[in-house]
Amino acid sequence: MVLLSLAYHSLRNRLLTTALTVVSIALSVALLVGVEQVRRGARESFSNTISQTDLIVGARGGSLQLLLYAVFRMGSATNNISYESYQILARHPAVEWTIPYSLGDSHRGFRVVGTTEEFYTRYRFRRHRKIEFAAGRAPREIFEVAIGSDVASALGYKIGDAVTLTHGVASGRGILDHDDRPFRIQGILARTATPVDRSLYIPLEGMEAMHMDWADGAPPMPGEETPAASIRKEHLQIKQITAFLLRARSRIDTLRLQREINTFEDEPLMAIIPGVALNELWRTIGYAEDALSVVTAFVLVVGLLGMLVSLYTSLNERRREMAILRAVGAGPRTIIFLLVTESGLLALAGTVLGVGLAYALALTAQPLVERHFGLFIPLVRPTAAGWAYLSAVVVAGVLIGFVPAVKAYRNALADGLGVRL
Amino acid sequence: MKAAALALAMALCASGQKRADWVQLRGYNYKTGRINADARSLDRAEVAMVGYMVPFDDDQSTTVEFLLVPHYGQCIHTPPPPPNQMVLVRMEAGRRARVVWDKPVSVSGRMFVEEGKGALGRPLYRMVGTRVDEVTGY
Amino acid sequence: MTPAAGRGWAIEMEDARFSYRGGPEIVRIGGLRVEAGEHVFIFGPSGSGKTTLLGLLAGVLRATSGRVSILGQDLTAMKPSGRDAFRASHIGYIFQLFNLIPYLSVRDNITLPCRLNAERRRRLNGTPMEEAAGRIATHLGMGSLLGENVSRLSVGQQQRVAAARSLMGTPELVIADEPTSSLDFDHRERFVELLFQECREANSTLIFVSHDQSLMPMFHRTVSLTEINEAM
Repeated sequence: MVLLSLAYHSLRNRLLTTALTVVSIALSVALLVGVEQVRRGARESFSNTISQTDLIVGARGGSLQLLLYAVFRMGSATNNISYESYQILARHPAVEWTIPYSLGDSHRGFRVVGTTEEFYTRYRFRRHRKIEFAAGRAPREIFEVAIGSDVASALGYKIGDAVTLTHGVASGRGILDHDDRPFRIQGILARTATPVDRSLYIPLEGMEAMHMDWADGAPPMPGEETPAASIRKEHLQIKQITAFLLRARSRIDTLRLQREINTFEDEPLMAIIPGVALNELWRTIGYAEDALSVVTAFVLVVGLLGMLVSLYTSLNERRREMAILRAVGAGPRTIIFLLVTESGLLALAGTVLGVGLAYALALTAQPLVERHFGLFIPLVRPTAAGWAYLSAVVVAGVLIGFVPAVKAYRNALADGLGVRL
Repeated sequence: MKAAALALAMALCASGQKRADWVQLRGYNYKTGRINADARSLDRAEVAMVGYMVPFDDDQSTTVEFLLVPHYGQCIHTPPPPPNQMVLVRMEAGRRARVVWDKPVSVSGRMFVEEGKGALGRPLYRMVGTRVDEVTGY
Repeated sequence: MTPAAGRGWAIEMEDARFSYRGGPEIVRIGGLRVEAGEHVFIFGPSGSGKTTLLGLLAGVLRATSGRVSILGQDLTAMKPSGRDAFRASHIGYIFQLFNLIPYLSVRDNITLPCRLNAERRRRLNGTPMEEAAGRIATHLGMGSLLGENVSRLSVGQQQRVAAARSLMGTPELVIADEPTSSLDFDHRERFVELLFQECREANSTLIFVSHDQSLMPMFHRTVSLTEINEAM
């Protein structure tokens, strides 16, 4: 207890060096914790975005690409799939339900998703949570739209507002706006903290209607469009969708269904198991993560070495102090203990501050990440391994303290009570 | 590897469990629906099985339901395992299994052999899992 | 020679020799005895082996041969840690200069021996440490400076704080190594008087080493180190 107070006062006496040492350890610990935080937070966030879906089906291509555009609204599909193929698979006896997605258009940077009633009733995220409405209802008519909560708050939309959708997925107002066929907002979805919040949802027929009269990839000439008022659901024939989510009646059939879809004869399709595809994603990123971890570890070593240097160089000016301590009865062991306590305290303070810093940074970054990616990175508690790493930092600090401590002990033995100045 | 298998076998004997293997599961002819005695002996038996996990829940770390299959990696070039080479494992109420990728796991639990050729939606083999361990030494 | 009635020997040195490993003999003292309660002036010009002698008396150094007994205990027979503990319990030490831990207050410097050693704490007889420190500081005219940071004190004040610290928990032996060399003459006498007064009150033996002979008449007895140290 005396030694703890001595160590504390001694450190406070060298406030600047102490502060700098603590900050350097804190920064390296913050980096360590921050990287882990982002890594685990991102995984949890990605995993939480889609639940209870056994297969994601799209045109044949990269499985990662399919996962990203179908679930995370990132990137885009290279090909659509025909509505007939979709219907064949949706009616497959082993299939419980499907949610079709028709993608490719946007509104002021937010993706537009053509889908069906199934989306509002079947889609699950964070294990069991389903889509709910903060206001209004699901769109029923062709030119009705439901918007995600981010879209509503970012653009200040209310129920009843009319929105114009843009061809393509530009970020902002487009040049080719479908302004001849505005959509009316009928529903605003409750916040999900997933990319669902960053999209607008229209019926599949709406998507089809929007592109009606287009020929060879160009919009109809002014005056040649079919007036919106005269378009009826019954007249529209859905030709294609981009992807669909699928749930099997029994999961025992998942692999069989996947195989059937992958070898579908009418057109090249691909089915992926979301968890497996995500795992693939993490493994791809894993190498970069490992490299980052190594860098982080080195930064930590540098921080601890900084502490060693600062304690070691302070010893010369503290020879007198050691002689006084010996005169009042401190043995060499007490002196060793004092220095080890000092370095332990520095490491502990650095670690605590570092963890605080990491969480503060994570809290600051949270809204930014959410605004840009629609991903809510949760603040995750350190795992058992995380705590072990943090304790290891403090233990390393204590162990490092033995280097200057042994030096001080040798000094004290050689100096006795007579330090010449 | 032999040592590990032996250790595993000994551990299983000690706990009174049978070890089920994939060849035994083939005794269920999924085309005719015939089940030989060896395969039938697995019904309601406490068994342990080694295989690979295909997890279903989105949660990347734990799962309550998964398929146990004899080889890892569902690739486009090979058909999926036949019905008698898949076990649908559901963890006992309240338990979750840690997700293990690309490493074999040993699943313990009660096995159920279902009659009826494994029509769509009906697994031939079902298991209520009590514990899942990563198998090392393979 | 036997000590006066009712008193023991505070210091007994018999043929005590010391040399650093492989070096020449620095100290060889055939016989030195100090009675308990005596105030002894040891005259030691520089180079007379003064620092080494004090190291031997305080138990920081161990005699290469011979016997060094303090309060009847043979230091040469003790382990280093035993000597450290003995010093902590029974000896107060005042340096020539820079006596104080710079990052502790006056009060914390004075109480340090009691905080590090249970025996010294016990000898306060239940008086709280802070109170005892306050009492000694007041005796030495430092009562108002207890909360001060030691770096604010003058040299004279610092030496008095050192004296107060050496006397906390009434050690049997107080060793002062040229404590007055940095003080001007008036302050020297005053300092020595205060030290005497406190040592009398605590019944402590005082060993005062100096090369300044002007203070000699104030002591019971003077020993010349140049005369008793046969190694020089």
